[in-house]
Amino acid sequence: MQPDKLSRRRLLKGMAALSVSALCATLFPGRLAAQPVASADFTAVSEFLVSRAVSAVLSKRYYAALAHHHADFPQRLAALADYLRAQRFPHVDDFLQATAMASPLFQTASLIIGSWYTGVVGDGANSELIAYADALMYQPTRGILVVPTYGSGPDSWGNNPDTHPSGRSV
Amino acid sequence: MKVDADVIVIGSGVMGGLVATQLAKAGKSVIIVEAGPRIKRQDIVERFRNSPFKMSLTNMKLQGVGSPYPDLPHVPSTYGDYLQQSGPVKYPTKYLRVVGGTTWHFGSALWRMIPNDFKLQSLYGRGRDWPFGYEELEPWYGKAEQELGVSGMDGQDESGHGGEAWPPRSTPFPMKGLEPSYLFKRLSELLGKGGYNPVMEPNGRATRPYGQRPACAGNNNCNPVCPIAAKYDGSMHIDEAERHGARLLDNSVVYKIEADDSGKISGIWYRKPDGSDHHLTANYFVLAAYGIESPKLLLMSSSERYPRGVANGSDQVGRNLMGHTGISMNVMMNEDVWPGQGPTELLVYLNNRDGDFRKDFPSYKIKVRNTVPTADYAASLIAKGVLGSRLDEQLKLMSARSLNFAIDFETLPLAENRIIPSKNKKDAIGLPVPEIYYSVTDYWHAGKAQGLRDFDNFAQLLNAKISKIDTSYQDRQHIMGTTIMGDNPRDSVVNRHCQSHDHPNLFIAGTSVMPSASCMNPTLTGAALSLRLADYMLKTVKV
Repeated sequence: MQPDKLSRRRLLKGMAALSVSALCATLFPGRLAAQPVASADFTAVSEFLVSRAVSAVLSKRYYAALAHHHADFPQRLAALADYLRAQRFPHVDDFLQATAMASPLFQTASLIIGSWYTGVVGDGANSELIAYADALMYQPTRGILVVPTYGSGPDSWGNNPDTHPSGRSV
Repeated sequence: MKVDADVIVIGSGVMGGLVATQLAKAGKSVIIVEAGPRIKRQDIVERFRNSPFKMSLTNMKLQGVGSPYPDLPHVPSTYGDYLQQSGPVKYPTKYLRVVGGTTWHFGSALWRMIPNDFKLQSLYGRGRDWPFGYEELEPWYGKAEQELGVSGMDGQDESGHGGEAWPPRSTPFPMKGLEPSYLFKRLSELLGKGGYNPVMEPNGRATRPYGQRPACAGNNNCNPVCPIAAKYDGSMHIDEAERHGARLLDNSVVYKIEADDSGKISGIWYRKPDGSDHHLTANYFVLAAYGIESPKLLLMSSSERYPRGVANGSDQVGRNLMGHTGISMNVMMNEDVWPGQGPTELLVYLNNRDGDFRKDFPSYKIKVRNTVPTADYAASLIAKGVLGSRLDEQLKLMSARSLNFAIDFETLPLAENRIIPSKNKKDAIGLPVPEIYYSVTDYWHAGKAQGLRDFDNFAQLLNAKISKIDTSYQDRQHIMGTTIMGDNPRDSVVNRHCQSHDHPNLFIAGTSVMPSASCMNPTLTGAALSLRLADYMLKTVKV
């Protein structure tokens, strides 16, 4: 499975879903408040930015939290989604390379990636946790380091993980 | 006269719990009075997991907001602005005001001191001697190791010189030591070439089922909370004391100890969260509220008869505050060593734990940090704009290769380093908050210079690149000295039995009585002294 292709396909699929849900929202304005239309867009953009399939439940919660902490988040997301749709980057790395770090698009991407990786949305004392063990930052070292409080059992350490792939789960 | 209990113990941490358990087992009626609430392990674990702030020893800055323990109006958290700092060096210690006390979040290092630590003045012309030597405390160290369930490696030279087993011990460790991680094996190989002798820390984590504790499962979370109770904490002795009939009053903040004109302590006053005040009497009193709250309470208990406070004829209460003031270094290895693997702590270097150099610079230990560092690295990488594939690569690389070494220096008992009740700031129930004055001397700076040389050697031996050195007086949260022990009532607070010079029915349990700090975590020494104190109360004083 090639993650870059997957991400792009998911992104495009998500965009299609967006138009349907946007239409529904127009026809049934009551649904707009109950379920933000942008959440499908958010899932698709997120999957592209983190190069992974993401949980639908967490996606909903991240979106709600980001919209809560950043009043302009729906507009920022829409701008980023439009840009990604237009540019058709094969992989997030291509987007990052083509985008200046100081640009609003990069900053929005960083906000979304940062949320998924750290599991936290918001700043300072107003931060809120969306995910702990499912925060993506634990993925790159999965099987080597545990997520604290989810230990791998007595004496499950000691070998060089580079030469002794353990198969330990986090 | 009828009293409420034979003995009142103030404070429900490891020290109060040990004394209360021994007394209750001997059939004495005991009331333990604790300022904070009872807590449940699962609640603390859940609060930790759900908190957006994860404490980490590699990122002390986050500790200010990271505690999953209660922060209540009548027992404000030490993670907030409860402790007032007035000295040139901050002493931002973090103790827990809950049933079971600070051991809930300690890393659980349980070291013995070595014989020369007891004779600092006579051997090296520094600090103070203890009124007795190591041999007096040795059997109590053994008993404390049994009570706290210590796992450790027999046969090590804990003086750090790579020699024979030291200090002498009459009993082996109750449990074998934890399995060393790959990091330790590799560091030992590399640093061994420079003559650095690895020593594995004795600690309070079970390596087999011990009482009700399961074996350590490598949760890498001793601080702030062990999720499975493999690690010892003081609540275990409180539970035991209660099983033997001791009564525990929680959320009861003792604010005054009363002494009559004859010098006898007659009672205590405590305040509940609703502001109501209550009085209790007993024949004997044990103060075990740790190194800040114990002296604060004695100083708050001033009266016409005792204008300087209770037990303070010497004017030493609150003074001689010691700790382990430290420095640290971050390096980047050129090979993978995975410091976050396995349980936290364990590997230390003690080449400069003891020797004639103590005339010139302090004893110190060098330790390697091995908490899972992911959250710190993720936040800093993302802030730097590292995203995409590079974020995953860098997270992996830093987790595998970034190392943090920290040094703990011994500090000396100085009269000016002290804790007093604040004159201008009170907590929500109207009691003064602690005010701390702390400073370091040239002696400490001489140690720092020596430690920095070791850091350089370490980096060379490890083929590592130094990325950061922090010499900003890091506090290690080991409070000692504030009710110091000695034979002379004019310059010490308690005698060799941890009994107040001024009030024979008042005893002080814990690390605040230690006349010297050594460079080692003091909990086991406090526990040994507490068991010895309980024995003295039962067999000699006959409480």
